[in-house]
Amino acid sequence: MVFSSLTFLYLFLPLVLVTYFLFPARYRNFLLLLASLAFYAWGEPRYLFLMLFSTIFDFFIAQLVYRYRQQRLAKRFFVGLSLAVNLGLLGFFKYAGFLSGTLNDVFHLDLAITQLALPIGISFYTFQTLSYTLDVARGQIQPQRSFLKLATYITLFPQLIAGPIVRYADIEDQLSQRTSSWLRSYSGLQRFIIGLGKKVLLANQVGLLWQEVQLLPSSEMSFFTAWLGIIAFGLQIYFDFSGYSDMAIGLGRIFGFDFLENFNFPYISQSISEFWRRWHISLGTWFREYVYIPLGGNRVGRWQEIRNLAIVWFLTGFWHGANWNFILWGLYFGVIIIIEKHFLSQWLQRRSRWLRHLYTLILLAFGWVLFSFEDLSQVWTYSSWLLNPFATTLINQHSLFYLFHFGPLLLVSAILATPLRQKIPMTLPLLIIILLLVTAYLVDASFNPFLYFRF
Amino acid sequence: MNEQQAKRAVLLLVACFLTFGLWFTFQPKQQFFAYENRYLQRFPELSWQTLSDGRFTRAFETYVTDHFPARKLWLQLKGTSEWLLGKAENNGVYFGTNNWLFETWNLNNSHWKANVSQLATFGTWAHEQLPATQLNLLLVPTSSQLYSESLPWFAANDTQAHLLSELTPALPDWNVTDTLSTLYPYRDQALYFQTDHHWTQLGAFYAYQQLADSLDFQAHPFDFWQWETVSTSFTGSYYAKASVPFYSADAIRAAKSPTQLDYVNLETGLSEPLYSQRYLSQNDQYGYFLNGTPAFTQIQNPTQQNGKHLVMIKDSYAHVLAPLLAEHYERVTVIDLRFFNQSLHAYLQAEQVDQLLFIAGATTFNTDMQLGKLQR
Repeated sequence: MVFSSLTFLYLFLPLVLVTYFLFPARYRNFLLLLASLAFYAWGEPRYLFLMLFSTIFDFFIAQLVYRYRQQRLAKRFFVGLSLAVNLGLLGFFKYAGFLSGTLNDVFHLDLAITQLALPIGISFYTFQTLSYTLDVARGQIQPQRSFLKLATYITLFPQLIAGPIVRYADIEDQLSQRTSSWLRSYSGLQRFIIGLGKKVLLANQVGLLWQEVQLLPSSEMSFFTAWLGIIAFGLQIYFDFSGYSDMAIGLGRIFGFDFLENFNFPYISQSISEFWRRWHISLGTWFREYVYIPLGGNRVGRWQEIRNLAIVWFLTGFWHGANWNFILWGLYFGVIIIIEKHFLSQWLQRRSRWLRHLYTLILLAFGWVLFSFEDLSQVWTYSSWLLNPFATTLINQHSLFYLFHFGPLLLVSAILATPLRQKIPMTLPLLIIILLLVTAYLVDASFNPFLYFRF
Repeated sequence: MNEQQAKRAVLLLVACFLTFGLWFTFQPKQQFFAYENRYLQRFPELSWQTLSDGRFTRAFETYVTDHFPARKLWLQLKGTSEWLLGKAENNGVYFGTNNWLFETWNLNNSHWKANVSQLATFGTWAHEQLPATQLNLLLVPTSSQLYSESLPWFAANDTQAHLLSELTPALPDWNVTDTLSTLYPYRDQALYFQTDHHWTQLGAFYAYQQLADSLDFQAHPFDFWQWETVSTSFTGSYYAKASVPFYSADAIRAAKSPTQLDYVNLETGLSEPLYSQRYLSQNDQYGYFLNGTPAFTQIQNPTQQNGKHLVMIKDSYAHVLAPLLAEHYERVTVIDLRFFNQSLHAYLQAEQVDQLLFIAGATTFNTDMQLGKLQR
């Protein structure tokens, strides 16, 4: 199920909220678990058991890791087993088709592995279960003794299918003891409705422009249209994903969980390094905690540090999808960040703030081109349209139509992507207006994709 | 905000969710939604099979969306806010000026060409097998072709003129009426509905005058007909798609003749008047003409004993034209190929057909019309 559907908003959500708060606290984890399983099964009935298997497996393996914490070899064995099983499942379901295809190409083999449908949310919950086992292994937390509580954590429906990636350590206490108050619930609902608005009223709507631009034959493309299109995509993916995170954080808050923030106005960044501290924060944190720092981070030689960064950015790209364009996308940012770190940042510091913004946004635009086309030749074509005003024409009738048709929406979206948004008082009447508009757009919805469900 | 105020706010919001949820659950469900002129999703079949492959849940979500309480109001709220945001269209319908709504027109080359080639094949067959039958073709352009000055700024509007003019060389066995040039001089009049994709009977009247030459009859002048405004509350297909309630409804004018003909449904044998009043109290008022979607009907004119027989192969654009043509023929047979399941060849060969008129909207001709039935 997705949050931005009438079924969720008007049937599932009120049912869950009312039931949850009617029952005393000791039943609430169980109710949440039931709700989460129903939520997952609604969209992905076949893979429900895969998720349950991961949960049961990690419950026991973490106990074993903890029991053998003094015995180096045994502990390593169980940690290794956990990594192998979790990453193996992720690899099988997400990467089997890509890997066999690549092997076939490189070694001229004929492996016939067809790619299965990707189980929704597997990239997210796998990283959550891994963080749990790894934190137990590092002695930072004790394993959860109650299967119910662990299952509640892993399947928790607000963040189950598109993050943020919540680390067990962050909500360990809240699994046993949650405070609820009207103020908390109100602030959660507020956050949820803001996210809903971002998703339905902004992301879906600017997404229509990107969809149209993508379908334009190259004979009707222009320099101006190409830029409008990629700007629309940048705004779409931001509002889509950050809207989803807002909804997750808001729902979590209603039920008494505090999830960490996942976005912090990424488009106001003045460098790519800063962008990645503001974009999908929970993923960056995860890779830093469980890959970069264990590899030695930046406390090693310059070349090893560069190697570590390269590994992290390769993995970041690969995590987003089993395709070369995602790998290149990750490496693209890795290279920029390495360059910024060693050369560019001093130079940028001496330039005006606006130039730094422009520099960042232009590099991001090319990043989104890489991200959005799985076919690399299309990446190349589209980039050339952006780079060369004479590759097509400068401007044509379509460009002007899009400018008039989508201009106000793009302007509003761009403003709302900056901290100016926080100046709007999110009062109850405004929330109700957003809710009404969202409902209207959902009743008439023909276009409602969730970009981050692919991951 | 304090705890008390927060409590009230939370209860209010949850009450919103609950109210619509309960309202949806307990309201009686309609099968047909007149405003959008379509059937709504039925409650999906529930079984292990449909549950496990996700068909149930997908259909269920459509079911909720389709039957959501006060659906029409939500559609209009969305249309209005799109309009306020300066959007040029909603659901593929442009917000024009002067109360005009237009459909976006994008040529589907493969459908268009396939349809032309089916007509050509039929033409070749008819040339040999029905030498006495004259073939005529009339495609009705979209309103955006005639009233393009009311389109939003920079709206794409591929011209249909060259498509229509290319028909003559492509179809040597057909007599093609250039509808665009015929209608163009009269474009200051209401040739099309502003909120629907159809042309009006006035638009059809000018085409009828033009057809008189090629079909060889003496067209009655404008004043012969009693032009009667039968409705002022018609909101058509564009209106529902755009859903901007401040665009005003169309009037329907009907050309009535003193002869007051009926038509006979050739499948049931029942006969009805050409204009049926009961549609005017419904949403789809265009059904006033020829009773909605006649599949296989015949208009017999006892005042004309000339023996002439016209067969119209048509879509709904014909419904306003047929009553005018019927004045000049002893028999006009109206066939909608979609619902026609006999052999057309056998029918045409068995009947004595003097003239055949293929008439469709350019929009219809731009889709897969499944004209394979022309060759059977």
